Amino acid sequence: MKKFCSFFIVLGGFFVFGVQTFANEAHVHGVTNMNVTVEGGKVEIELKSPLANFISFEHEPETDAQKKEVRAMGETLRKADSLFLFPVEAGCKLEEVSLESGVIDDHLLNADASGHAPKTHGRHEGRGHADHGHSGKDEHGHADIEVEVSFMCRNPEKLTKLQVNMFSAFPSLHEIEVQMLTPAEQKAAELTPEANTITW
Amino acid sequence: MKRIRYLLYLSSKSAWNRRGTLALIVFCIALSTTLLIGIEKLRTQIRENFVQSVSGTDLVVGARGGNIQLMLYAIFHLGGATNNIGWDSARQIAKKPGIAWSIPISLGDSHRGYPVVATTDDFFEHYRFRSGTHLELAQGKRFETLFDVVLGAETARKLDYSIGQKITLSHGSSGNHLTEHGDMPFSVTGILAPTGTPVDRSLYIGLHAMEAIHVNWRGGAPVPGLRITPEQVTRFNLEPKSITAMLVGLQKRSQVFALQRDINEWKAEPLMGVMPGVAMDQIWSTINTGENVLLLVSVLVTVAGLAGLAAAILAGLGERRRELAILRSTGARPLDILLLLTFEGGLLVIAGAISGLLALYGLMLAVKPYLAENYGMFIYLSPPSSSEWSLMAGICLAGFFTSLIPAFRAYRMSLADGLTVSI
Repeated sequence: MKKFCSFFIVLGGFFVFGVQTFANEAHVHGVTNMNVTVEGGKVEIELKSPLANFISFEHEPETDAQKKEVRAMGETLRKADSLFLFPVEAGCKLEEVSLESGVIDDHLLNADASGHAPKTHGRHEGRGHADHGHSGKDEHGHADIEVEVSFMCRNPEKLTKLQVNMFSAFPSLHEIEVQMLTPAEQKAAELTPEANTITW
Repeated sequence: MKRIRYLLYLSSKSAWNRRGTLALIVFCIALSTTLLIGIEKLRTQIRENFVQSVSGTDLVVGARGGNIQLMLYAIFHLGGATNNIGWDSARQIAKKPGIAWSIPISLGDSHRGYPVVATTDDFFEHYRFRSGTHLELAQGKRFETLFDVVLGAETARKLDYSIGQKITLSHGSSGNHLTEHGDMPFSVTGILAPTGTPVDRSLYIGLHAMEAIHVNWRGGAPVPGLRITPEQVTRFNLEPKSITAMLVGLQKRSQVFALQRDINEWKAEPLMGVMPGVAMDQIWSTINTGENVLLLVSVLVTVAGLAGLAAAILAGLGERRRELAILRSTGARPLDILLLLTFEGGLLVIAGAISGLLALYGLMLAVKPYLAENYGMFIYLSPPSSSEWSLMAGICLAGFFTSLIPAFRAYRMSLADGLTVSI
């Protein structure tokens, strides 16, 4: 059995060598990495994605049309409770959304559609701002956006499922590689428009 | 209601009369149940065994490359690392705030095909597998002096080694013409208890020992003429310069993403942190087609079992024409005949499914020690899971519907035949 297993492991290796983790800093359009932490009733979701998955360009918005596009993206992402769905019985409430990109001005990114400046987005103690450099443009002119979302749930024991609706909101996105930390284990998942739910 | 009770009574009486043939059918169904549920159990347990080869480790750190590759060499000791981690980086990571423990691992040597893993005492202290089980020594003690080696259970059993045995290690991990570290023999001080993980197939020495046996080596070969005895070697600086990988445990599990990010952005050298649970899931998802094939096979076996059930009852109808005709003559309606046969089929299937489940538990209990001893495979008796219950229900339901086929035939026959028994 052991030998049998090892054989398959090696075989498996050939198929999956290309799998990238969050931080190998791969920038593949259409694909994003997502880290999910479930701890008690608190759920934290971190996403670092190429900007191109959400808008049509990867640089500082120049024209009004581009600025409008950024605002629309910000608006969709801030309504994170319609992008990330938990079982109703878990009683989850969106706590905070923070968006950050090296090439887009914070005010524009966090402004609502009417152009108002953001109220708060202060969750970045510690590592937050040190990351600025990384979401900036790389040498090939690519840029990323970092999204951090947190939820608070009243019934942690019902918290066993997460449905991600980002694919319908952002058609350019077609795959999410998830690294997950549940109360019991570490878990991997690959979400696609056809299979957009993680259970644990 | 009374009528149904009577029919049940009648059908069990009639079945008892033909118990020889029916026992065979029950056996057939029991066998399919044992196979189907057994394979389902094995499938989930193999997955758990595999995914939990390492548990409690929050992050595996290695040189940057594929994350699956890192898991394969750091945990399964398969294949090799393309690069090492500098000892300085390793120590800096180990000292980072929030890190509870770290296990350095240095690979590269082997002994008769079994990988030699150089590590520290922390390995025995902190390495865990299968939902947090600690390593235990079956015999002897951990390595203490420089040339001590601790064996995994399978290594010791297959090579027939015992405490005190002197062995030499080979340079490199495979092939027939490996150079031996013959000048510095090791002695076996401990043998680990079986774990069902790659630990069983390894040998463990201290990090300093790994350095010591390579003191007089340059560029992958011993320096000609330079002979250093095991006594002299202790005078050298045996601090390692690099290691292959490091397993890290955190004080707070939730800090793993932050640590992973730090390590992936390590300035001094290109490093990578992989969450073992995530990588194991990814490996498993590529090999689980095998497990689906297993399930498919057992479903087919069940179908064969049920076909046997239908065939046996159908064949039995011929012999029972007279019995059924007598029942009809004493006032049984055709519908009663239908119910009678359906009850019989249902009873057979339920009896088969239950005895199959019991047989499975008996079998598991019987082969459990043998599997653990000889194959390092740990199975445990667990109450049927929800998916196993639904498979059981599936068997019963399918069996019930299958028994409707002969029942319906008997119903038709009893209408056509009536009392005109033709021989």
